[in-house]
Amino acid sequence: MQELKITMLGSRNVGKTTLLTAMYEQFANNVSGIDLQLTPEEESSAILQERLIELKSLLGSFEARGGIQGTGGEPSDLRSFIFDLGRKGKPPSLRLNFRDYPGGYLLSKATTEQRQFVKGLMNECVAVLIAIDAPALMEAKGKWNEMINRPQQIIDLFCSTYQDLGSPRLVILAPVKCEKYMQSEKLSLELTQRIREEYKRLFELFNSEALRSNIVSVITPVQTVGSVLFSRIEIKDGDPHFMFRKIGHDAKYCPKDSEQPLRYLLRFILKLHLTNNRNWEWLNFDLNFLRDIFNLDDAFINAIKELSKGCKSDGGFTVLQGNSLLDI
Amino acid sequence: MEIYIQSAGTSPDFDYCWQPEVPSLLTRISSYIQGESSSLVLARFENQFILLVTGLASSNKKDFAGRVIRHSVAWVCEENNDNEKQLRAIAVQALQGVLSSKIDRLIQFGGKSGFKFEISEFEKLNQSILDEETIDNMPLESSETRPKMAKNSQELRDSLAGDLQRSCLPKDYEILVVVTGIKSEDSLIQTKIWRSLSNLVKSDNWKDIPKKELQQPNFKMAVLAIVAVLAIAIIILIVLH
Repeated sequence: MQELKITMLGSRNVGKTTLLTAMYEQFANNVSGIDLQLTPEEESSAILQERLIELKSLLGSFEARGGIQGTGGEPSDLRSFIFDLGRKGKPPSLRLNFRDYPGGYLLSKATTEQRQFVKGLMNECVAVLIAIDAPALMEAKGKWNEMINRPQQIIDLFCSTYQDLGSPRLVILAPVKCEKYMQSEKLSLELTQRIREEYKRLFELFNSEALRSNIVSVITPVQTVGSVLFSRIEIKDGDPHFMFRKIGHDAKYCPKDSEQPLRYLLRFILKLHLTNNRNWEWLNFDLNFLRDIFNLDDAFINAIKELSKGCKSDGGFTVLQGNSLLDI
Repeated sequence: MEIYIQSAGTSPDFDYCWQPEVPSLLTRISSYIQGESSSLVLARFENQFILLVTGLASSNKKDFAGRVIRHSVAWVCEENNDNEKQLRAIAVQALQGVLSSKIDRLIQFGGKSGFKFEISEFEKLNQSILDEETIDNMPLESSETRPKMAKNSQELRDSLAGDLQRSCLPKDYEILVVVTGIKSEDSLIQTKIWRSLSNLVKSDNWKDIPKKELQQPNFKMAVLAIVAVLAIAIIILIVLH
């Protein structure tokens, strides 16, 4: 089975693992009617189940706070979240390997080995998923954004790794914990505008002459819990604590749009397959694997096409660049 | 004995890191455990022991997002009887769940990495653990030298602690003990481990790991490698003739 690697990028405590948990938990509900199933590998399944229990328990108190157990460790012991994707009742066609890593690897104190690890991931992965803490971006005039989301470090990482790309890459910016900002069209537009402002240098890089034809970038806001809204920031010992409130007394865990990053990812790789640009094979990124994934299974292609139709493109969902590489 | 500590500060600037440095043997054992769970690995490589204990939850230290700080400690030392006794004593307390609070007391927020500690205090802790535990040196019965695994439970952690109190460690193992949260039975069977406990092992009681299951993939790889080498040698001979 062919494997597709995806880097999960985002600073410490932004919510990368929470995003994956919501994506997996809601996939079956959100794509019902499409002949696809997403099955986590045994260890990934057990870890996500643990995270799910933690997330649901956060709703037990009225003042639900962001933050489940964080990811720490050295490059040698970091885990992957592995999912197999295929048609229902059939052996899987594709393995998705989401590489999670501690947000601290983007800190200035990170070791050389840790930095090299992230750069290596960026080079070998066909897609990058950037989790962005939406309240840090939006509240208090963005006062805490640099501290929480570290956009400059993320931009610097792209500047040092995205050079002379030989094949297309998908970059998904996924603001998380953004329930409050999806309540109206106006708020969701403000969210995307703030992302455009804070990551301006990144988008300029993507739109440079050298990279323009090989980058697809999209914004997919994800409501990672669904039933809580940002409430206020409390300052303790100089550090911000982002507080949330439940939308109702008996509100339950119900993430929204958590499958959207996956829809865009699969749409993108299907487009790469359909385009079949032979030049890419001679450059530094071998896309031969796409033939193995898709060539033998028209029904799988049709299922991905069906899934792609559900990619949202309004209400905060935006294709910033590379529309032609999503056009199937 | 070298002692290494992994912890984090409260601020986003201070993520988890090892001090004074990453233990050199860590890369050889870290894949056996789920790092963020309470885990323990005892291993020996080239006349050195390493004991790694992870996921030691602090009782009162939290990061800026309200998440409990979890410490890890690694002890690395030369392989000899005294050091084996010391590491068995520490492992016993870790398995009995009484090590966390002792470690937590020795680590404070502050310093260049967001947390600080005195190595001398850890050395004193080693000695006090050794004083508290009765560690015998009974030889293992031959039936007890076989690799066994089971589902991780306090009952079996206590049973393993009893074994470590009573008996010397078996000689012909690199990976001696693995206790962890989420690690699949298949992944643990890939390596010869004297005693392994994981939440994903199905058996509630110790079970022998049949020899045919141990390191089978490596055996297959070895056979494939030999066949490949022979094939290349034959091709070279044919070409030369």
